[in-house]
Amino acid sequence: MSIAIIPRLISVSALLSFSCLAACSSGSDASTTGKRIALHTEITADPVIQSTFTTGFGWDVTLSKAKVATSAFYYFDGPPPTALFKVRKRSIGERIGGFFVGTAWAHPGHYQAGTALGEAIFTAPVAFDLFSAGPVKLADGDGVTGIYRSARFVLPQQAPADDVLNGHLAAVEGQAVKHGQADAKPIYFRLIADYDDISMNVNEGAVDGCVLDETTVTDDGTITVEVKATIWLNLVDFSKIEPGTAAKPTEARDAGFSQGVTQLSAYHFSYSK
Amino acid sequence: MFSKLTSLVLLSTLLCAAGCSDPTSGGKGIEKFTTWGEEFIEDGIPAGDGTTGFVDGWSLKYGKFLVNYNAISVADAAGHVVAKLDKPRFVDNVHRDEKDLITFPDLDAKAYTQVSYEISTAVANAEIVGDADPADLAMMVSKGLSVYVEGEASKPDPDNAKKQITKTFHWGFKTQTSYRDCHSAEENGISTEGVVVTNNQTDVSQLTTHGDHLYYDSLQSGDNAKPTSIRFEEKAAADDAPNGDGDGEVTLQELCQANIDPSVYNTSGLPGATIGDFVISLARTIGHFRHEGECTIKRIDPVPSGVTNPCDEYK
Repeated sequence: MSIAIIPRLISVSALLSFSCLAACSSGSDASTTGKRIALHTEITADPVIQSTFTTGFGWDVTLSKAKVATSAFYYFDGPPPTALFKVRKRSIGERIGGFFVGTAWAHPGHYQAGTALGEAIFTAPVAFDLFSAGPVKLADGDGVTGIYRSARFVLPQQAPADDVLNGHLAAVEGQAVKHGQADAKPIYFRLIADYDDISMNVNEGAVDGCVLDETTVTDDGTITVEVKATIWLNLVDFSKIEPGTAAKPTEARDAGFSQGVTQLSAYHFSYSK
Repeated sequence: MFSKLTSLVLLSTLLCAAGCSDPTSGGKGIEKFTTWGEEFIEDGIPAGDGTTGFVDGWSLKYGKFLVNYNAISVADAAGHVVAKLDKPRFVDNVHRDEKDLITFPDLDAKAYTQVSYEISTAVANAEIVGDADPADLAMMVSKGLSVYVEGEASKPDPDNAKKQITKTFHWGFKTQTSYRDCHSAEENGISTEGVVVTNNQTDVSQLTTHGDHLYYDSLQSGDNAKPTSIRFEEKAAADDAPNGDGDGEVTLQELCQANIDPSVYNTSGLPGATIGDFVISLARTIGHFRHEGECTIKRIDPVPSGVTNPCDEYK
């Protein structure tokens, strides 16, 4: 049996199982699952990057440019390996310093995407500017009704033509100062990640298990992806980067950055009507 | 190809027929909860390939693996709670074999899809299970701990094959975690939500503790993620200079001084940037259901003011 046939058989089996469930149910779910719907697509950036934020390694980072390439999003009914819980409201300082506190706890290796419910596949890779004013509309996707719980963010093999990316899949520029040393000379940096870099962490450029706020989708709507560059930079050790200058920042590849770009928590999906 | 599809149709039809019947309806049954630490906690974790044991040549043996179970609860699909643990249970899962936590008799024979429990701060009136040491419970209460592990890890000395490098550890965790909507691991493609009580039968749900989780190098998972391995090398190195005191004892404080190397560890966006932060977060993942079954895991302890990363609570 060819590899290509296996997923089809699985799909057939899943479809048959779904029919079985529908037959056994009282009918309440049957009306909300399986209808084809249009899913508009938007991408936006966590506004935290508009101001200086502190990384896990204790650097105060101020970004001036941030872009990422993407080629597709996929939506699933499998629960994400991490979930979110609500924390009390905290001061702005605590929120900026602690943007990870809301993350709950995962089980290693046990994420199962489950059934694919929708997708947005772009005819050509897209470069998203995290400093765009407001959400950016991307090509529409489609799907079926059902309970949406997790998503896949796909980084393409080839970057789109873009002045900031300049052939790379992700790029950020800015300055970093060790927290508490505001008078120290800043490190001016330009961090880049290519397909080979991210392939150290994920296969096929696919970041699996991203949280899609659990929603029972019954009709057309919009899937919005929020990109969190703070996650990209959390484990970057800027002490290893030459200081550079504001006019000529040091371009570097960094294991922390390329891993950060593939963190499932760097991409948060949600559905709205 | 056609015959395979035919087989699938037949299989699905059989599953359909099985799924539509309800063999549990009527009568009364018993639901018993137990706990076990599996071989990794009882016998130790060997060197291995990253999943069968430590990928970096270390092996480890636990001396204690103390857990305070709380709020074991059984409810039906409507959320009606039919059984709940009366008071916490304190257990040392290094001690061998499965230990009884609580038995709920006289339950209506049917499916209960909402099963949950907590691992929370030890309390003085907890019921000591098996032959756990009351002095250990007192220690946990005085330090405000929910989980405590101690043991010894070793690996061959690369400079002298006749020698072993040995590190000890005594780690107490204040993490309080709820495990909700527990379900069994998939068997033949089917995962059972909660438990099914059958007439005149005793159904046993084991709250399994996984002793290897503290050493995972990644939480990222899925078909496209780098496989997770268990590692000790970086924990051992935390005891050494410049951040450690080199006394052979790896403390949580030393782990909290050891920065994560992202070329080795993937914290999957969990809080903090040190080995200690990651280990403390992983302590919330030790609780399981019926061996490899899982629950939805959530932090239930409030985040104290000024705390950003897990290590902030262990200074």
